[in-house]
Amino acid sequence: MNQIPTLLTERFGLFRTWGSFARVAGWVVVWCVVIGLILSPAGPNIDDRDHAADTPASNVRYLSPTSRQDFGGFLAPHDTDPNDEQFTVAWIGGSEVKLDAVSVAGEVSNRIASFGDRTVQIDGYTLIAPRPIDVLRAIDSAVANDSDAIVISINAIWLTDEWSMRSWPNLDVANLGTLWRWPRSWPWALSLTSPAEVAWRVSRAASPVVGAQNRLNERALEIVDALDLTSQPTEAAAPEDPDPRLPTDPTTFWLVQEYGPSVMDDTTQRVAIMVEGLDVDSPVADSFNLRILEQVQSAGVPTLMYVAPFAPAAMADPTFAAAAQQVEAYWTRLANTNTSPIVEIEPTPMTAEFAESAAFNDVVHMRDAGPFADVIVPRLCANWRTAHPTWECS
Amino acid sequence: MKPYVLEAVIGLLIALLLLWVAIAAVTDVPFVYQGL
Repeated sequence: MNQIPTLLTERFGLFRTWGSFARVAGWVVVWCVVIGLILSPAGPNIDDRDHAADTPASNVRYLSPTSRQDFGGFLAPHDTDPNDEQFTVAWIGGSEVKLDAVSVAGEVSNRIASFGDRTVQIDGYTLIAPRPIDVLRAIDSAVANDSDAIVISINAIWLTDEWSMRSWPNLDVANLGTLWRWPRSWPWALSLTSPAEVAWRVSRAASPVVGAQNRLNERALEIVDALDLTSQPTEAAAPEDPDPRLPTDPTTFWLVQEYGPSVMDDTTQRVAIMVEGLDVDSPVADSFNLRILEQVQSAGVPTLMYVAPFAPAAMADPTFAAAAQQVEAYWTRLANTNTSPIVEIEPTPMTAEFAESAAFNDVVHMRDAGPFADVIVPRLCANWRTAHPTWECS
Repeated sequence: MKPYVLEAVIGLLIALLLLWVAIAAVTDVPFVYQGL
């Protein structure tokens, strides 16, 4: 192996001076740019993302990544609505808003055709289990995409801190500046954003090849698989059964560490524990939730934040009901600090308003989002009228 | 002249390697219990 540097320096005369190193580094940059221009792959767009179609069908556009290997962030929709003929609504939330074919946003979209003289277009900024920091990034993207209104589904888990829940670290790359704008969140910008993420962001912006990395990655895998002569797909061994002691994600790991394996047997009990958090008091959660409120206040568009409704069966569980009360009390306190007339926080889960027709798969995931859509549609229209008093939903 | 051409060629090889890594590095890394 030592023969290669010897060959380069002594026979070919390379790397004998710092200037030689600098020229090679310069060529690396030049070639990266040239290769990007030659290949010129199209940037990521929302059609690349494999969302399950809504049932019933809706015209909601889902702008968020469905995979943690997609560093594109929340993508801008195709048509930029240059004449501002649409009333664009950014619906931010987790799996309680959109999971597989069930979509609260989709059901609402099918119930509101227009607001004033504008057609209503709902854009889904939905992830599985977003952190508050992911919500901040979604708000940033929604404002950049000229949204006319924002809806945020408040996840009960946001009472605990950033590290005790699942995360979408790829968004740390996508909206790098989110935490740098406010001096008091600079420590979080330093702690949550690594130098590697800055480098990813810069390289994504500088090179179209890196920007299209998610799509190109699939092709790269195909090439690697084609070149793999040692294990043909037909000969591939069946996947081994996972070790039952292994948790599926960090949240599961910490829950089992803290409460024992039996915590995974009852979803309602588990979620109740998660709501209360692994810490009783979390100033980190307070800081981020306050920041969410401040960010929507400064966005200047009507915003409805609501605590996602819980299943009636879960509310009947005393442990869970106590946790739900904790959530309501927390957001009531935060709502009392709200000074914007166009921002509304609904801290009470609206379960009671559609309990008779509610259909849930578990604590927060609905089997049919229609009954909840019937409840929230008038609330949304009332919120939008705070900014446009003479307009009506139809 | 020859060293300058070789520098450009080496720069090309490094650029190809970097771009390949940039594309391949986005693969999800599953959580693995470390036994701690």
